[in-house]
Amino acid sequence: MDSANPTSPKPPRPRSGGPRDSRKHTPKVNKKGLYQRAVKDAFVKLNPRQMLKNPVMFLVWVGTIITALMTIDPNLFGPTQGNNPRVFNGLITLILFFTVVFANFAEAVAEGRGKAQADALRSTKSDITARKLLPDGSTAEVSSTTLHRGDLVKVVAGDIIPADGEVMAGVASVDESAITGESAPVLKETGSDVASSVTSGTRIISDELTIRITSDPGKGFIDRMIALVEGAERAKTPNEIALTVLLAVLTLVFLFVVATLPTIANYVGSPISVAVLIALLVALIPTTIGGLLSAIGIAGMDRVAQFNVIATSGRAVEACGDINTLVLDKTGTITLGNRLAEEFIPVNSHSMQDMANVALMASVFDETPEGKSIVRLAEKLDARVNFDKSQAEGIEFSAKTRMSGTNLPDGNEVRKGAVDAIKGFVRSRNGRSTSELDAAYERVSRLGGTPLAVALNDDIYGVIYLKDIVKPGIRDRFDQLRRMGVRTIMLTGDNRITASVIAQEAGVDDFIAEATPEDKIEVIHREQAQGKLVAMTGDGTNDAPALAQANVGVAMNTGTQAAKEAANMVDLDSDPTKLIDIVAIGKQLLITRGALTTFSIANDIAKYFAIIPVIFVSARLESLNVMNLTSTSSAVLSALIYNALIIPALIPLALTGVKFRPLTANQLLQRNILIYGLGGVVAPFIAIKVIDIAITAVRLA
Amino acid sequence: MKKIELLSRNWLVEADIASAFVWKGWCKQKLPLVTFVLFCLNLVLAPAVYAAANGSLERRYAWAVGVLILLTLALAGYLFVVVFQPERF
Amino acid sequence: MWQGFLQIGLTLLILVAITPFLGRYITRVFLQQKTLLDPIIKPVERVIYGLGGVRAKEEMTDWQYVQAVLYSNLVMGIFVFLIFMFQGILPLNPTNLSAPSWDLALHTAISFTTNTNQQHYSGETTFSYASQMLALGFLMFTSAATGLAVGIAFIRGLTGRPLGNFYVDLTVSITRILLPISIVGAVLLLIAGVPETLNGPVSAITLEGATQYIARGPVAHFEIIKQLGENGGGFFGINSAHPFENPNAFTNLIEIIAMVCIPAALIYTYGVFANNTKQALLLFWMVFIIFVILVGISAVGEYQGNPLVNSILGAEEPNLEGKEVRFGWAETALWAVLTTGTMCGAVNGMHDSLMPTGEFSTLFNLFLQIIWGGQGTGTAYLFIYLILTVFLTGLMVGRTPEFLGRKIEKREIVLASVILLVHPIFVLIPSAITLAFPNTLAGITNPGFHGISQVVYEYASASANNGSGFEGLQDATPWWNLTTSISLLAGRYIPIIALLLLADSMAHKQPVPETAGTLRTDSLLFTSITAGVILILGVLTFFPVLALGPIAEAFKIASGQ
Repeated sequence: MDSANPTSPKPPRPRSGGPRDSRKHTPKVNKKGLYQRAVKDAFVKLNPRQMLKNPVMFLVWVGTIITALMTIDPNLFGPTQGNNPRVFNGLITLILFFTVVFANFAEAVAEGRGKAQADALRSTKSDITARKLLPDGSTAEVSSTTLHRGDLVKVVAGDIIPADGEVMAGVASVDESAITGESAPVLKETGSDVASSVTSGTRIISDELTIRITSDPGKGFIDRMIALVEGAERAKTPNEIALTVLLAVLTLVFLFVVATLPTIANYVGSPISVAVLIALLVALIPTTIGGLLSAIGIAGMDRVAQFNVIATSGRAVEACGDINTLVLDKTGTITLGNRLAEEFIPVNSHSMQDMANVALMASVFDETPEGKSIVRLAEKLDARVNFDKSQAEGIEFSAKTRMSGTNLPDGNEVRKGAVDAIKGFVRSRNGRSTSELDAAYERVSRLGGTPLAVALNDDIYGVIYLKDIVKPGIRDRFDQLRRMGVRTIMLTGDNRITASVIAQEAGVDDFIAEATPEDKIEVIHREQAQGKLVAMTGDGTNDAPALAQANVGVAMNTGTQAAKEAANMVDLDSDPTKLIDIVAIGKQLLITRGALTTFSIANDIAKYFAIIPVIFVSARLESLNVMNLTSTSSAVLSALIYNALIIPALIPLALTGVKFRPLTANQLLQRNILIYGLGGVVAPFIAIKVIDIAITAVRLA
Repeated sequence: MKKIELLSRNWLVEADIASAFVWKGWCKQKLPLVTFVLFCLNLVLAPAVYAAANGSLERRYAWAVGVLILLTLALAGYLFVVVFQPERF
Repeated sequence: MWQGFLQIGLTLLILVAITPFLGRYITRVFLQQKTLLDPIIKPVERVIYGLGGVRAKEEMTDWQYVQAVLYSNLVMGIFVFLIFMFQGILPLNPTNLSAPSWDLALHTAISFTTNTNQQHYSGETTFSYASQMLALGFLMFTSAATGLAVGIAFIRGLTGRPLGNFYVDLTVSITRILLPISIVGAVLLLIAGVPETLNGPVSAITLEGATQYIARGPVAHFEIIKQLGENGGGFFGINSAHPFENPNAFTNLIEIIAMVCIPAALIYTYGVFANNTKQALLLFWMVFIIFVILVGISAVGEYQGNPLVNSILGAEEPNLEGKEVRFGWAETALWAVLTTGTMCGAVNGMHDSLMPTGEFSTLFNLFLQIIWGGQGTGTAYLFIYLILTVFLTGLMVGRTPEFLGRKIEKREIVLASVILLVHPIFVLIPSAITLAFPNTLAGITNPGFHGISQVVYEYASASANNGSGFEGLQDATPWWNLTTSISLLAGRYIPIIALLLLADSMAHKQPVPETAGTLRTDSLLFTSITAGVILILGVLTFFPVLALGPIAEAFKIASGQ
């Protein structure tokens, strides 16, 4: 937040800004045996109790049972004509049965993939013994599953951290590669915002820590992610519920249509067998989307998990698609985390050499990347340390003073920091600021850099131009977001001029300069008051209220426990730009659902034209038989076979999702309606005809 | 007289216990209840189907068709529940 | 031939020309802006509100509005039913008609209260002048105004306004829209030769010397509101085919325009309400194009005539069976499509005698209910289809579907679904039961595929609140009276309740500002998709019935049997 804060450590982000795929690194997912297991599950799911959860498929299942009875006794509902009704009914039963199995298979595959992911995660947190600190100070060995919120545990080098928690004492390096895939160990210490929280399943590799557990057993982030990707705790999202209603209504409408048909057909002397009626019903109800709906939802969660993001609910992922505004921190999201010293601008008639010397003196104790880059630049200008470092005292940066520096052994004080702060420092020593300083300050700001003033006692030597580097490719992403109708707001502690330059360079729509954490909440409130959905990222404790207020709050895994609790997603890689990817996943989820629904309903036209003309014998509707299907039974069978086969054919699409393109809504609609709407009308005509030819060729009907 | 009275009282108690037992079972298990109600309704429906068929259908077919119609109605009822309370599914 | 199509074309041209003006006027009325009629009508309305105890400024919630609709309609229905039952002792009964059977009276009361005007009787021989004017004429205004009020309340809700006050909407619908237009229209009809008298029938001596009684009565005022309010219940049994109801081409034109002007204008009214006339015009043209196609295939069917008849005649003659020669095939086809489309239900020819293409078009209209649609409710149904389209296709742009910036969620889908379900349930199920007992229940006069059309048409007409009949059917039986009554009530009030609840829930949603990611519903693309969804959802439901009815009949005629 603070422009002149050179000390807050930022974790290294080697992959940030790179192409999306390179960031996918599911930890050790075992896909072996996934399909065998899915096949088995597909049959297990035939249990009527489970089938009741899927209204469309439940109807098909009931239909299968009735046609099975009609295979045993073709004259169950009255005498029938036709040669060999038993074979025909048997074939219908078989196809209907496979329609149900295929739908179950789709769900099982999606769940299986989730399970595989969950297993990989679970392997990181197998039951381990933890050293629980008892009130009397002694330790007791207990199982990690018995740990509750508030318990204190002690971990030493080599241990696996038993549960999510917060560091209470100690400093240690922790290997978090099990969940983040990040091989470099991370320093964990008490008190600090970003480095005090530890995640279960990670391994401590040096020293020891005392941890206060922050989650009850089975409620940790990993547990939540496991539950979510496995589909065990999958509650339907609002959108899925609305779609379920619509599918049930369409099913209901067609149930009435088909159920009332026999008396109408009887009246004109074209009795239809119950098996054909069931076939017609199954062909008309939206089985395609009905069979794939839950698979789409599970696969969506799975995709989020593959991005190493833990979502606490499917609702949050779906809400991502609806986001209108992204609130982004400048540092680390829009610009590379580290600002580097680019140039020294001496003022008050000091030489460049003097300036470099003072800058070096001010930065010798500064271990931040910014500080180190100042040292590097100064040394390039031949500045040397000309005092005894051990005698000097380093002044830490603090948010209050907004400057840091060195007290030299000879009593001189060197400071660098925000220009205002340094002005105050100098004024307190009866020095004065000059217009030259303001000019340099303005120049650096106009370049989009951060100006740091450097002073020795009461004399301001100059301004260091810290260059902010906008992440490569970020402008394109914002352009894409804009096309999708998502507005981006940049928050920065920089002054207005700097902020506006960076905003322009990065292509964000709006920015808030000199922002405080309170500003974040205010921005979110303001946007939400206009009915917009807001997403944001955050890591600090003071981000927690804003994360909770935002419709989608993504906390960084390096962030504090408070931030993680408040957010509805946690990014294990701590990469703020991932928010943009999550928005795309949310949209993709909705698009896939919509595309398959449209496709499923559009298919009805062809199925009608396949079945209706041939089943009413006395009506002589041959001219409507536009596909010129061979016979009643071949037409009914082809339509049903198509209906069954389209489900497994679309499983890959349901699992990977419709490819998302950052286009405007109208372009997307145009594109998708052409593929899934018009395609859904045309494709079945061709497919049913082909199946009919094949059936006729093998004399199946 | 007395004996018979006793018997009838006992019978009442028994019936009460039996019905309570059956009721308890039904509350837990919906399927037998639904099936029973369906077959009861079919007592009314099957003759109507038989009449509609105008003699072209034997009685046993009429019964099967009656069950089929009731099954359809049950499915419609189930779908209505899905429409109005989708959260349950 | 070209003369016929020219007549149709000119009529449609007049429609297109007056729609924006009437649409804007209706908007002004319901937004309570200044209109020309204010000085005369304001005091009248004040008296009405005062007498009725209506607090005109009070906005109603959805359930209050629903209750107001239901209670007022119930009271009106009972009032009218009592008039029928006691018409024998009431005045204005020159032909001394006694009370009709209770089921016919019930059916008629329900049918007129629901703005359907399905008639299982012949007006001139069943109902006295008192029943016609006080009961039926009264309901023709109030039922039309009820529909208009609900339609406006729905548009208000959709555009984020409170629903308004039902009693105020009911009153201004009558005082500012129905009554003024009716007065002008009735005078025009009078000038053109429609009678308006309270005297009994005239007796005339024919050339052969026989005495003939010619029924007449207060027809002109009855006729115009019959058309304007989408009522359709004729003063005479044969409705607008009767020379006293519709004597010539001029009256025919007036009656056609009166029939369609308000439903067409309401689409425009929506545009002004939503401040999006572009969308309104797109929807107008979408409905217009579907309408023109239907008129086209019906007119061509009638023009080509019946091949079976033509082969006997040895000439290509238009089908004039069941038509008035003074209107000819073109005007009759136009009227038939329009009257089923607008849910008016008045007829100027026998729909039973239409060619299968005409049957198809009229049934198609009854199934869709939006090719102009009923008074108020038709426009609302159009938006139900729009909402369903937004939901189906809106997901494909990767956002929760929105309509006019308001999210379509579970509640909206449930309510829209209820409306979608009413028609299949209350058309198909009673049709199936009736056709299961063709000898005892149906009363079909023309067995075969045509018989299916007759039965389905009757229930579709009831459930869609249209009221026209295929006429061949012998429908004055308790079975028909009572079952169609159920369809009438369900087809009217279930959708009205759902519409009002839907409107209210939309009104209370926080609108989301429009961005590039928002699906625009006022584009040509979206309107075309809507047309596709309407065809798939509306027509596919009834495709088997259409296939076994008019389509099978068409193939049968074409095959020359």
